[in-house]
Amino acid sequence: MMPAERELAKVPLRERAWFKELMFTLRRIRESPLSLAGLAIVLFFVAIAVLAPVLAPPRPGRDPFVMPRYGYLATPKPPSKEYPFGTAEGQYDMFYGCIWGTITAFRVGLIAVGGSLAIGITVGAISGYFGGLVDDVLMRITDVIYAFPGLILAMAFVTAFGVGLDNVIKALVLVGWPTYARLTRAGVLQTKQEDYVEAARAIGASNFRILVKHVLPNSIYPVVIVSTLDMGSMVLTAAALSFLGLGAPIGYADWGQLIAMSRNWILGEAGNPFAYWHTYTIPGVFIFTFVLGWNLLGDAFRDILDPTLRRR
Amino acid sequence: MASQVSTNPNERGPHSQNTLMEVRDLKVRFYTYEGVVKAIDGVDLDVVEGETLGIVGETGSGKSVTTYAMMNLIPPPGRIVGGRVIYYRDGRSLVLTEMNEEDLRKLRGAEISRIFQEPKAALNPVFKVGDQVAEAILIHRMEEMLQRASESLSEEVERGSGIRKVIASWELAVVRRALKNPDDILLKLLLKIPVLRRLYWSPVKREARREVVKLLRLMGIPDPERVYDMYPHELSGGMQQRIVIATALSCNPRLLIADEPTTNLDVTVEAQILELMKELKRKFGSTLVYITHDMGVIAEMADRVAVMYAGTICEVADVYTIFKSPLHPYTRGLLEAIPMPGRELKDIPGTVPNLINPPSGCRFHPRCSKAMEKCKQYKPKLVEVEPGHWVACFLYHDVRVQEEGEGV
Amino acid sequence: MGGMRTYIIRRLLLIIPTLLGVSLLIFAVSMVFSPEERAALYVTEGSLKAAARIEAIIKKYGLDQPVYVQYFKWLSSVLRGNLGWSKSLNIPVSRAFTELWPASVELAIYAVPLIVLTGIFLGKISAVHRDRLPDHLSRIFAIVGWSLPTFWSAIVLLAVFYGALGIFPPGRLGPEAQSIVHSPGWVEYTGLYTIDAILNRNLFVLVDALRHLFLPVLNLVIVGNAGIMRVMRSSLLEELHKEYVMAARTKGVPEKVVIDKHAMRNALIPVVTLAGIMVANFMTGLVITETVFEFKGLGYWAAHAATQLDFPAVLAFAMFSGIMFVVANLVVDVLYAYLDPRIRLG
Repeated sequence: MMPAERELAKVPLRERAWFKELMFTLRRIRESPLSLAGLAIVLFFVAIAVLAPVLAPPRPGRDPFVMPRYGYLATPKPPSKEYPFGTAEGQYDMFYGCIWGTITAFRVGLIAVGGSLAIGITVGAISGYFGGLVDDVLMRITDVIYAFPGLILAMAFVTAFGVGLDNVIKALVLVGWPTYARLTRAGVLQTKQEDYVEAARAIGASNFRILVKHVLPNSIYPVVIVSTLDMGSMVLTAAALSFLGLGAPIGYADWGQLIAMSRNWILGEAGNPFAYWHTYTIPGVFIFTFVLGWNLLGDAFRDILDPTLRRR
Repeated sequence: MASQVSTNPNERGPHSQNTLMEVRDLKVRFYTYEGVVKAIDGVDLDVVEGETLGIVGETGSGKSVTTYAMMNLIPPPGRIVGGRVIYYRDGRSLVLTEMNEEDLRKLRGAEISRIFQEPKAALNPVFKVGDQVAEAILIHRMEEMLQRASESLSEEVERGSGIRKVIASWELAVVRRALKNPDDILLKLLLKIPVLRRLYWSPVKREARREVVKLLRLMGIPDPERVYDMYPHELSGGMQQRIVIATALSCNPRLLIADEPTTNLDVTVEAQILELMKELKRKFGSTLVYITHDMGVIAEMADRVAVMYAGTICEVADVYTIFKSPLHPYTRGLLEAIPMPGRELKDIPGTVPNLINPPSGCRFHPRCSKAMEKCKQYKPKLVEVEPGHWVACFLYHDVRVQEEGEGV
Repeated sequence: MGGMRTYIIRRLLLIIPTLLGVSLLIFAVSMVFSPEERAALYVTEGSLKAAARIEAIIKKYGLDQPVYVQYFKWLSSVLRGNLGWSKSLNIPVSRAFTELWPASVELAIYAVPLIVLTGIFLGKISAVHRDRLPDHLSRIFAIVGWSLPTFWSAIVLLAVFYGALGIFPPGRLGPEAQSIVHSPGWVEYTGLYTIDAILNRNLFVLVDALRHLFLPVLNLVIVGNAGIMRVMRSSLLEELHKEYVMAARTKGVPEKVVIDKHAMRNALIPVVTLAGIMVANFMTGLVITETVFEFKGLGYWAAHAATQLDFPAVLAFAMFSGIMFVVANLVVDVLYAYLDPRIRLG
């Protein structure tokens, strides 16, 4: 670090703005029962994902994300001691599918959100910091992408580039970065007016340095928080795409795909309309609870961030 | 009462001396997430008809809340937890703190009205300012407006022609019916039908508009016909405040509560508004309760002054006495804090207390240079130590506020 | 109101660049394909003959020429109504549109007002009774609706109300109503079965159509009103804390009028600006709901086309969604100026 910058950075950790924000956020989370519930749900799913190899051991030598099948009959079998969640159409083990589906969900969500964040923050930072023509052009691009509903643009993308989870993730990133770009840009616009930025510039720090070391850390906090809310919607969109047949292939451990396989069985049989309830109810509960947990957490974060709701 | 010194202002009784309003031992609490704020702690105050009563104090002293209690409109999460507010009209007394919402609403805006500190915030940004002034008239002076409408419509029907005459005659029929019996069932039905109800509202609103334009002219607003149709953000601060004042005066209130009406205005505008208020008070004959933290304005406007601190009243006296011989240490501090050339600026040490955990005993004792041991333990009562001059301070008397369960 | 007119004109002019941008994006995505594949976009009759015509088409539309030339030619072709061939349905895309959009419009006519009204209503009672039972219930309803996968709620509704109870079937019409609608005595005025049934004075078809509409509309409403409800709630809560609300009360205005006339008028403004996002969400919901309920509208076609890699169809639908969004925002901006005098005069 340049010697003058070292002076600027002497502020102890405890005093730094983002640290105080974080502590405040954590304290508020502790106080709200709904956000605690959200946190509990999320941690629960993390546990499942981590323990997946133990709960549903994969077959040696095979791709763990392909569900094991126990036969070739179409008709699903209800839950039993042997198959705790029953089997899906084609005798796929639903318990296995739901457990490993958790990892799939996390994988899709984290990569999609991570990718969107990376691109979004970069674009937003450049746009906000440099302004002018660059800003105008970049914002027009985000406007245009914004005009399309996420699912539909993702559909177009997947139709053009091919079906499969990897393309789904890419599509989600394409659809997701504009939101973060906008948020980052707003934060950067505010922060770049602050005095310490002027000070750094006066010392002669390069634009890149200022952006990365001073402006960004103080403006991305709300962006990162909002991204937690998006975990839920990313997974929902991915599940919808899999449901429509555009995401994970048949037999892959993916919640949306499992529900897609259940479509032929929602009417049950004569005399017992819910004979195959397990094929759509169980994966559905998984998706719903997962998304609910992230939404509760994200909601709590957003309430905490909202300055008007903070004052009493 | 056993005590020799009078402990209540105007203790002689409610019918004496044209008392307009009495606040007795008012206690107000706010139930917030951070705790219970004991905002007002046993306030006694009298308002004499025709006077200008100034209430002085710092922010957070409870001046506004006390005046909200005067119309029993404490905003949640606040609640009146003790005491009474009594309003006197034609020799009868109305205990506001015990009345129901229905009856209270008839008083608000009509007999007791309010002027706000921030005129921009007090006006609804999506409605025309004229309509906002007219709203109070249409609520409280409806019969009068119907009467006037009846007269002007009769004229129109006689002298008018064509379609206008036809509509006017329909309107006249509706208006006459409303005058005869306001609870008429057919009328109520008519008011629910979208286009037809205009037969009722158009004439009435026209009269209200005339009245508002008259009022705006009285406020010194130029070109009032045009201003009526403008929106709040189109007007300057001074104009906005005149609108707010017009609204407050629209129904000839007996008591006008002005909550720091000039604090947010430029100094030159402030002078105009103060002049206006004095003149209007004279013309309308209302009683004025004027809240401020500015001693200069108090000197200009008030007949009597009540000094408040942290939810209690420290001192009450007429304005000359307050300035010439203030008794309470806080009053003295306030006067010494007025910047004047040639004199060193003195401020009162310390800050306004947190009212969730207020100081024990006299709430001013932590900042008082003359505090004694008993000030920490007991609250001094507001006592008349000279005729017309009340103080709540142990330097001048020995009367304590009795807590529940305590003996004399 | 002269200010209004210039404002509207200004806004109209502003959407042109955005619409152009939308078309550019669509065009860019389509450039992923080779000239041969793209030639298929211009074939308006499907058959093996088309294969031979492809060379001719590449020449005609200059599909091997520089990008900007292609874009211009493509755009002019689109504006003339030639959107290519939908291989999943074997008809031109434009015809697919005109045949299928009444179904989606019919869903929209019932669902959108319901979504808006329930969202506003729930948000209002939530704000007015803050932190009490109605508030908690509404918020739970909203967050559940927000987290439900649209396709899952659709399936569950179908399983319960059709599979078990048999009252609300999937599709647009039952077999008997179908035959009535296709019989020569039936006049198709709009393509919307409920309206046409009224105009044809046929109660049976009306009831049948409504029965088939019930579940898809319900699904769309459950998932769709969460967004509105939340914004309504926070917006109204913020307004109720403002000084003019207190001022109205000091005038003696009854509480009901304070809320409905003074506060709501201001609180609805942020809700109105949501319209663009609501349209986007609605289109998404449409795709999934129509698919699960076999309700043959635009969304059903788009999903079906995607699985069949029928690119022109998906592209056309995406462009349609984009345009809808832009138009919705324009309407919102105009409405916004009408509701908030500060915008149109300031």
